[in-house]
Amino acid sequence: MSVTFERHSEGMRISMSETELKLLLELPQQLRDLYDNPLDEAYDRLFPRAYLDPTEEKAESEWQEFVHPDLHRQRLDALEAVTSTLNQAGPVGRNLVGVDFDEDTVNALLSVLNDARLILGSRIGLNDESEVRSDLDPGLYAAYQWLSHLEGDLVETLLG
Amino acid sequence: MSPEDEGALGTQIVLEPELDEFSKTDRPWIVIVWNDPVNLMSYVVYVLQKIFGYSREKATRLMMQVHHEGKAAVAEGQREKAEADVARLHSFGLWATMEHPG
Repeated sequence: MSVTFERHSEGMRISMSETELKLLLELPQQLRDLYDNPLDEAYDRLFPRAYLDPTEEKAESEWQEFVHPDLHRQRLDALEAVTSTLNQAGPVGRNLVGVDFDEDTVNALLSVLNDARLILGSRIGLNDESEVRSDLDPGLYAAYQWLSHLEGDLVETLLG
Repeated sequence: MSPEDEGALGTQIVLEPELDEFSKTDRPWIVIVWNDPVNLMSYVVYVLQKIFGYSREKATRLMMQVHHEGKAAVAEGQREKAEADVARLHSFGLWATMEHPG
């Protein structure tokens, strides 16, 4: 696996294999399905409460009414930005494709990677950093680890 | 407070209840970030810098506090400001809540 991130004056060049591009392009559709399914157990992790205090229930529902449509819209916009940017990827070398992300689309990609990890983390039942369930779905866990590696590299590149 | 300032006792007696009332409703809301098993440590640092404009040092210190103590107060302010901060933290996938002390 060989996704690489290189900063340049207008943003970031991201290079990857055709297989990796295909995997990344699958994320937005899966996320879109979840964003539109409030009954999914992972939904609450993406749209958590602001208030823990039960006496603030009125403030909580007003806040949700005000904020959740925006947060929902931002997430859908990020999916769209990532999909259309990844679709511009072209060959840059043997078995590699590359594409330039500007600052906004880099942040959209970061948000997509992080949401995908939050959802997978919920699916595989991660509940403590030091513990891994023995009955983990190996496919989901491999996907989670791959995305974690990718996001870690991306954040390191952003932090410089 | 210097001894001279304590002279106007009458004024103090009148003002104190008002001050109490004021400080109770005006006390800032605290924005809390909670530890979770998924968000990367480096990502939390990046998000705190980006949202609040904190230095790398301050963002790292807060992230370490979240990591070791389970939570950290990352910002404070009036209710509306705290609600906006929580929404921004949620937009980055951090687990954040707000509370009013006392």
